[in-house]
Amino acid sequence: MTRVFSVVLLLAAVLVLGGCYDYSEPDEKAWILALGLDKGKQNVLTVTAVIAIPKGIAGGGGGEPAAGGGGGGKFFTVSLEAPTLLSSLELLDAVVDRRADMSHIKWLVFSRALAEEGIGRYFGPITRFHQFRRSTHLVVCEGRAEDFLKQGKPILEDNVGKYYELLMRGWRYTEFIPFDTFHFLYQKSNTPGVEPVAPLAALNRKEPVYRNDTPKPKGAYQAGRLPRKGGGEIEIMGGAVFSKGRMVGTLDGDQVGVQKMFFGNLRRTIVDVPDPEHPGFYVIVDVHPRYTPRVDVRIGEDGLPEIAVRVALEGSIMSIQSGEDYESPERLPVLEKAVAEAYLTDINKTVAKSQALGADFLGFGLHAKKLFLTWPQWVAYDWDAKYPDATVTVSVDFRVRRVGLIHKTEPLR
Amino acid sequence: MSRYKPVVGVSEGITLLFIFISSKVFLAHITFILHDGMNASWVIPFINTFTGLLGVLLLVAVLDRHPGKDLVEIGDELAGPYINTLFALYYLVVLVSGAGFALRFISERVVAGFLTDTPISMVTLSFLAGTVVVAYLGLEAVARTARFLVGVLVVSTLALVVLTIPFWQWHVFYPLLGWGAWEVLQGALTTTGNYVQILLLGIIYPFLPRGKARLVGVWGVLIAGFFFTLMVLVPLLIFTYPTISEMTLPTFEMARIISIGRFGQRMEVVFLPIWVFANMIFITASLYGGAAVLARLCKLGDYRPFVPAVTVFTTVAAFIPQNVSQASYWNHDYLTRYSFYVLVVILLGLRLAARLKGGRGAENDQGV
Repeated sequence: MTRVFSVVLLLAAVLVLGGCYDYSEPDEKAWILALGLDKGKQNVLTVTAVIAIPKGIAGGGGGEPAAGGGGGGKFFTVSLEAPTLLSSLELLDAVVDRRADMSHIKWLVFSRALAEEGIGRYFGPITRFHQFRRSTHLVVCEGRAEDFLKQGKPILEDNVGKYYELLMRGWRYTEFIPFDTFHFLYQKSNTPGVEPVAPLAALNRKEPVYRNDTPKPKGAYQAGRLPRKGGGEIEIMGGAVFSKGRMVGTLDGDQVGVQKMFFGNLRRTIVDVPDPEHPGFYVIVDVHPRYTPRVDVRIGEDGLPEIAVRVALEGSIMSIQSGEDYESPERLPVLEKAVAEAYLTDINKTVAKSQALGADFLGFGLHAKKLFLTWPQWVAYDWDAKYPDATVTVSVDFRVRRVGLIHKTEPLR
Repeated sequence: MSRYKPVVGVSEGITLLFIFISSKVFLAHITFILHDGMNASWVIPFINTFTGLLGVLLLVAVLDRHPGKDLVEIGDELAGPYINTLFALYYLVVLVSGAGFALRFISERVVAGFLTDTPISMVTLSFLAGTVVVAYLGLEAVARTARFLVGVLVVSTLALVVLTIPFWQWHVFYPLLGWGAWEVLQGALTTTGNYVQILLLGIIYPFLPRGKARLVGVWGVLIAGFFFTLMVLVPLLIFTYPTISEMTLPTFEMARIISIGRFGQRMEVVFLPIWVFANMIFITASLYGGAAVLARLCKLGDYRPFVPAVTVFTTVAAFIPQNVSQASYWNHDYLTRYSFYVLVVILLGLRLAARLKGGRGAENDQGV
């Protein structure tokens, strides 16, 4: 009798543990893959949700194979006017037949106009809400986020979520895409002595950006000003600098590369260096950091920071347009010096920009706080106020390690 | 205390004790440490471990003079039934309120992060259903459950730590002294209650192998201290100060932030067993301990009739706070801050009583 009772009790327990209250079928959810926020037209905010159409991603069902390769992302967007970001979730349930769920969100897109007004007020609510994850990417887009998300269809991917993830994963292969996920962005926003940089994105600009064909470093571009035809509608290049929850400026591709180098997130970059001996020609070098830049900070007698930076890079020669024999050991220093100087210029420009913006997005303050014994002392020093007047000295050392598959260039005859 | 005398081995004892002390690192407790120590909070568990060690040595010194007896029986012998009733009620309050808060926190955590539409009463019921059965089965069942699950707990916890290494930021150690040396020390001195759970050693003492209580106590506290330090340090390294101080459940956020390519995300469910098992073992041991204290207090040989009563007390204690914030603050104010000192005062009182009674008490089999 006891055993029978135990079995009945166990079965009853299994029923309870099945979680009837939180019963939810994945095919009864509307999976939001991106949320866009704009200044509202009929309310405080226009919230745009990108919702996946799973049938389009996974195939027709009934054992049919996935469609595959069609691209287009298989999603639809809904834009709602709402007073707050999270209240739009409930509004969404009034519009979409499936229950909206943010658990798989990849991007949180703010329009530049809203970001410049200040988006700090949206950070707190987001981190508190259980469906939101700090691994999400916060993106700032030129124009309205509503249009950006609606028109930003992938070409290669059926799954728009995968498209968003792979696009952002470009930070590994190019220096032009910032690394900061929401986790790092929020943390840097909270921490004295450092400011965050969010990826800057835009739709493909149809009309020409530049009026002439003068040489421009490729890293001088930023999203919305990238001369191109074809490809997907979305481009990500450059960064949006934040300070105290408000966007205060933008960085071009090269400046983002420098910012990533200071946080150890720059893996490699291809640098076009003007040939030191043949004007109009380029030497193309694949560059890797040897180690994260060494930063020494001291407080000068005037109370202002004095920052010394040592950058160490190495790389391989990819191409020498002029055919000049730079590969020989005695000629390599010429090339190394040219690359180091090019990088030094980029770093100095980036440092100057950070001081002009009054936003230490290179994180010098994280090194400066080692000089203080206690947190109150560090906060009282008021790094943000002193950083714009800091003296920053940068030295760059570049070494060629490999010369590619050509041992010695023979000139064309 | 029941029909037969249970036997708890050394490794089972150590496992049970360290899980009982350190399971709280998976709940909101460490948030308060982070408030006290700022970016130097990782020092606080070190100091706490040291005080915990002193406490456990004092406890063992009291216990070893009365082999075969638990703390309640020793109190009865040394302090007399009236004063000992106060002592025993204190043990009961520590065990029941600790279990009550743990029950509330783990239930709230499940509701906050996993079963968001399920009423908390259902979640609580599920936790109690499992824990009451094991507590009713007795100390051997409790200890063996802990020993059985410790592998899962340790491996999962270490995996959780290792998988977050890419997020560690070393600048968090600076400024070195955080809020200030004195303030950090104060923080440590007002969170000693994290080790009040050494009390369990006083309850299971008669069932441990003779002469091994010190070994069990010291290793239990040291291993707990390791996990305590780890679970304060790692969230600090990941989220850095001051962001970490905002979080209700740092270890939950640790699991949520893991990202290993496109397919290695949303891994908190993988780590759910850590939080559930650790806290279920804590609640089970508390229910058993509470029932054992009551049985001793009533001078009954069997603890089992008291398990349902202690379960009811625990459930009531869990729901006295009106909300989870109140529960967190009450737990910190009433259990974490000063409960350890009260236990130390009781133990010192018992040592003093032993001296005043003139005898050295019974020696254990090693003559210690």
